[in-house]
Amino acid sequence: MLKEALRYLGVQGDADEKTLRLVSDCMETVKKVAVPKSICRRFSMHDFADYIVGNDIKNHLAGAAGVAVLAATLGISVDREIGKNQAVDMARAAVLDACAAALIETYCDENMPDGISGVYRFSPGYGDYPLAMQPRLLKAVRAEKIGITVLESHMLLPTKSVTAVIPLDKNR
Amino acid sequence: MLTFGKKLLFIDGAMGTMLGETAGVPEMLCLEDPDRIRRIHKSYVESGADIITTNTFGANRLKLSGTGRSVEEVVKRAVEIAREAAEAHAAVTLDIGPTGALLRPMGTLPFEEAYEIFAEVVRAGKGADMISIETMTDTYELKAAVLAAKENADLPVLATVSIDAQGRLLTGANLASVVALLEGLGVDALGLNCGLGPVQFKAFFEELCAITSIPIALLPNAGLPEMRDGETRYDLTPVEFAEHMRYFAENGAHILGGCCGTTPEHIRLMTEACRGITPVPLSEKNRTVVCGYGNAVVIDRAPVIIGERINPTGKKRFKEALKAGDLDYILAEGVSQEEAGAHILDVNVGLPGIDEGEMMERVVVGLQGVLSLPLQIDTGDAGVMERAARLYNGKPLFNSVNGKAENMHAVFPVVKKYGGAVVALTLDENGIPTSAEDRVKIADKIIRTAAEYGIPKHDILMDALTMAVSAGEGSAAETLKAVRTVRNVLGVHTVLGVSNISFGLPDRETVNSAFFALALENGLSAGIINPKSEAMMGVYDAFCVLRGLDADCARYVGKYGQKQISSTPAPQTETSLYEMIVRGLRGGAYGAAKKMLETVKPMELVESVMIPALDTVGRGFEQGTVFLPQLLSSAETVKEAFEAVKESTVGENDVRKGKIILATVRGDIHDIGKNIVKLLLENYGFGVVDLGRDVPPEEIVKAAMEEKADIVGLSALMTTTVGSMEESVRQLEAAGFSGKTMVGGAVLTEEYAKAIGADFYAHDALSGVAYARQIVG
Repeated sequence: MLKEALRYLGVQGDADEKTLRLVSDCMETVKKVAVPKSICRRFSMHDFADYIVGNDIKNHLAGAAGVAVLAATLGISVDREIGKNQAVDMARAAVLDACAAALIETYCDENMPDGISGVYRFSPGYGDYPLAMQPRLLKAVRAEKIGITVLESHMLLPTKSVTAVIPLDKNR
Repeated sequence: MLTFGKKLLFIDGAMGTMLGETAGVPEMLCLEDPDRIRRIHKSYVESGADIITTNTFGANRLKLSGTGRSVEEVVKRAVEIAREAAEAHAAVTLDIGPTGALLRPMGTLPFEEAYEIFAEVVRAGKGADMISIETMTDTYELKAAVLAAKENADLPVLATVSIDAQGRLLTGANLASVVALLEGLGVDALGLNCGLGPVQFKAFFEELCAITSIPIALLPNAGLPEMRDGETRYDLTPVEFAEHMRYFAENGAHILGGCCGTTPEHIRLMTEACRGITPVPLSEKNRTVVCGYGNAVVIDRAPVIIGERINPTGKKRFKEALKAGDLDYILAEGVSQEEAGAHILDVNVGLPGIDEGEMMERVVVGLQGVLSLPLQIDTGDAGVMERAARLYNGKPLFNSVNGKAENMHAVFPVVKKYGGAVVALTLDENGIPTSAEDRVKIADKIIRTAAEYGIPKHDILMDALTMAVSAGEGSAAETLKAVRTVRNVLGVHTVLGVSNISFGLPDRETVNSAFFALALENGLSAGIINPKSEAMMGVYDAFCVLRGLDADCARYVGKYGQKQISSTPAPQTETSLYEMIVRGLRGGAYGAAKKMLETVKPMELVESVMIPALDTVGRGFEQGTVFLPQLLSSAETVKEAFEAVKESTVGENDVRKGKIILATVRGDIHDIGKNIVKLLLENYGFGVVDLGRDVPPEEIVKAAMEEKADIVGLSALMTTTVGSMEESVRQLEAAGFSGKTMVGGAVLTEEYAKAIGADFYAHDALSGVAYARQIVG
């Protein structure tokens, strides 16, 4: 996860010790303040047909027997922690932001339906799958129960939130 | 009129479960298939429910948008249908759920708009017998809903929240905060619904019983959900559900019902199981509690620290920040006090020449964007107090009221309506009495008058007033005596502005800390102090140890034991400011700059040390040998040095060059990129006006024209918000803006920036700085 966070920060090659320390310290903070939650719903291919818009999602789901939609968030407390640090220590804020981005991905990995792994998660905004699908996917899984809201611009709030479409039992 | 608490009342079960998965908006069924809704209501009435809930959970303008039907139509019809089904057998409650949007400052929905959304539902549903505000997961939205209910109808209000397995709302509040907020706002009953089943409710129910003085309602789900054959089921049978509900009825609940997964069968068995039970009588818990949106602060045996630093009195730099609307400076003052151990923050922004009400609102909302500590709203103007009270997220502490009749008449209604606690000064029309006895008399008068307004003793913190000891040698003893009497005889918590004691004396901290120790020993419940003073916090921490308020001295050892082991050496004095900036050692930068300013002119320091140092770091960044965190550490170091520069130029011409407006465009709320640009621009000495995030084009144009900006810098993160950026650039052009536009953000490219008519594309923060140097010089 630290490696991911460093990548988000644009750190290439070996980082200096001070940066590494800051990143691992911020990762601890993010883990401490985050209140991660996820919610998942399965669809038959038939029921999911309505949510297929564009070619890329079609390819993503090709050969799948079903679909799971996952919504996950680190919670609003992470946004607040990043916001608070912007007032007092921007370096820390930027690193917290990167750590949180890394953490939500790891959290999704760990909360895949049926514990599956190695399956690509596909989200609105990838390829030609429109961002406008965001509110529909959220509604489908009742993501408001875990506090994910969406702006008119389709931006998710809390900002460290993810929706993902996951193929199930591919080519079984 | 319904009254809660005397006998058990039963509310119906789920509407959503009975409707099953519906496409579209379930509230629309009130218009489209009223018979179906009526049948469901009817089956609950037949199951023994005393109260049935209208099908209006999401019947607000946000969720109904696109249906072509108005809130009024849907809600009115929903109440009628429920009334028809209830006949004379049950009462009807108007159901209000969350808006589905997150409020400012974390989200984009303004508090007053959330209020208006709820008010519209309330006005349309006034024909009901009561109002149920339910499934709330955010204290701020909850407050908007309760205010809307109370100000737009004259009906009893039940408010229930949905908690997670840790007992928290999604936005961070614990149960103590929820109870403080809701009791303060004067709801008629409160409790929990949804989220968990009765088994998981149990521990939180016990907590509610211990801290709540008003009737308690519980509407759990039918257990925990599990997926079976692609369907959601709940893990309790109706019989098991009813058994648990009986336990609640016997042990302190007053209103019982069901949420997701419950059916008329659950309600029937529940009412049968609970028949004949007389609920536990209500009892007043007399707790002194204030809160923000996070954990509540309970003032009990252990005293608390109120941070005094957000106050312009005697602080030149703070006054400058207020005049310039420099919110960051104030927020940083708040954050550092929290880190130093403050439990509550005093907020005073009164300064001649600024609009105190507006500034108070901005600062309160700003602080509540990042800090969960309760705030003490410090103003002598009841109008300002009310503005802040309305927007405040939680149960505030007001500072202050005094014994003058006119003052009490102005302040107490605000305290009562918004449900705060209040600091009361023991002075009246005749001034401040010299003797403790006379101050106690005023205290007594204030307590009695407060009671007439419905404000209980436990919501008052009496300030027996610290007088400068240099003005009269007996004064400290009188204050301490008054503190002791107020606490022990009147039974009211006490507060003091501690540092007044040393006014006019040298080495004030020594006197302050000794007086603080004495006051604590005499019954001080809350000290208004500078938490950044190690001496004062040392007294506090030691007092807690000595008085047995710090179990196993754990907090003390945690704080001071660690300090000795890991105390980082201060930067060596030989390190030059230049070196500090390059290496990002912010700790000593302020002092180093201060020292240099004894001999060097401020402008020269900026031009010949600070900027060249930043340039060195910037070159490293461009070459890939320095990374973003290091660049920002250097920038933060410059910021520290700039504090010294600003202090030495207070009241003089601004040393900053030009005027650059920054904004994250409408619809976009991710603003860290913009804030990084701001930090760097400021540290290169540019004058920056930050309009924040989610800023509409009109506001950008207005600021650009008014400030005669040299550059407007816009940030957008999403493809969907680049449209707002384009619109902003277009409107700037249309308004005849003569400066330059600079744009940046994750999804932008050089080509795109050109296509939308921007003058410059900043691919990173430093390229933005380079452009600003080229344009402003």
